[in-house]
Amino acid sequence: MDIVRTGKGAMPSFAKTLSATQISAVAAYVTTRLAVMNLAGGNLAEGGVLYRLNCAPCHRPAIRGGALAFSRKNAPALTHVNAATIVGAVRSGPGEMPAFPVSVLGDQDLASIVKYVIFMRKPPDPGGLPLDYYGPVAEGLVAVGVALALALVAVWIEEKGRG
Amino acid sequence: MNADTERVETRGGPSRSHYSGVVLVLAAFTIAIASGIAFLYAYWTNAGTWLLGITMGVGAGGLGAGLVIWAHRLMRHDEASSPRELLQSTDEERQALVEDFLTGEQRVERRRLLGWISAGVLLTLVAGIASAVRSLGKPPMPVLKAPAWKRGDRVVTPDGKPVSAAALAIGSAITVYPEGRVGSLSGQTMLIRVKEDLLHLPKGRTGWAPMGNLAYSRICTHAGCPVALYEVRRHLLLCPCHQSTFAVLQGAVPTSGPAARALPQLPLYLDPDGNLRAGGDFTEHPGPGFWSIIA
Repeated sequence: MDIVRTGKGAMPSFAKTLSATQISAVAAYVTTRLAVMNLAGGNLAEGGVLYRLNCAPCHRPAIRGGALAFSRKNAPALTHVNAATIVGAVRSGPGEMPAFPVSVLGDQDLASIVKYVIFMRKPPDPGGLPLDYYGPVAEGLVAVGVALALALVAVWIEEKGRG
Repeated sequence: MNADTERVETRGGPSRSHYSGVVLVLAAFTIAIASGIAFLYAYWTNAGTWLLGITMGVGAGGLGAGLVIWAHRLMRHDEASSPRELLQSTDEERQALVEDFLTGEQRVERRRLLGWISAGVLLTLVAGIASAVRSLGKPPMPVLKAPAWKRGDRVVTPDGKPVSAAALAIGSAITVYPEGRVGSLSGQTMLIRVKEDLLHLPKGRTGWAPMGNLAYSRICTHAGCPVALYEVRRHLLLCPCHQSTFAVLQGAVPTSGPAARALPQLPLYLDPDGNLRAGGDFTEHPGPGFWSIIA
């Protein structure tokens, strides 16, 4: 409700254009919209599929955000956004982000996506060193680097042993 | 160092350490062959990645150890040199050469055994790696060559629902498939809705975007990544792999990055129910150019 009055980022303030009752009506609508969405009913696996299809190209599969074209603005990381922000962004499409109306992405699907995003804030991490969740290619690159360093150490030890 | 003393050593025949070296190399190579065969068995019986890793590791390790022992124990490490004098050798030297050669002949026999067994090691390890190539799956070529859409195919969302012309808000973008082939590789398409009066499509494509609904292949023409990153305000499709950008309003021509071809466009029309249908196949084969060259 406050955000409608004050505005935030690209969103203008509506304090002058809307009356106090209108602002509370907007807030009430948004709240009902959120309440209608049963966020607890989402399915994590389905959310993962939908997220990778619709969101991962920009926000990366591990929700850590990614670069856009010709811009210093990136698709933001979703590690600190709450469910209401995700719902609002998906439905309205802020900035360069396309909107996903309910006709093509149902409320249940969106609830699943929210569930996946919240799960991915801290996914299971058996390796202990996630490397910003860039995935197996980055992990392999680090492993090759470590192996090369060890090989250089071995060569150095042998050279030293000879001398 | 005198050349004569060198030759005396050589003529003395293989030493004990030479024999033990041969035995060690044979042992290492036998281990490598055994693990190579174990790898093949583990691969074809789906015994699990742990066994695959261990057997391939021991196999490569055996080959490496064998080669190291071979180099250290069986090969000569001293540098033989003699002052350059007459080109013609003396008779004694020639006689010595013949004897050297005869001594060496026995060595050649033994080396031949090592040669066979190292060929065996390479054969089993290469067979293991070659059979693992099967796990890469079918090549994508035949799939991409077949027509992805045909005239009259209904456009459906990933959960199989038809898409009406007004389903997308202006500034929306979703992935769609031909009806009945949801999830197909070549049929994956980006459906984008833009303001109709902004459109500036190439000639001959009028009416391909009913109510501003545009459809382009989702496979980048550069390296085949999914081009699903749509920037609404700049009307750009961006490929996240190598940052190729495509101008959506101008028929998805590449505007920067490594992609050289435009994304193939899918003609759309509205059926009497108001749902989007394909008016034919893509304008070109979807997928990166090099696939069509290899074929």
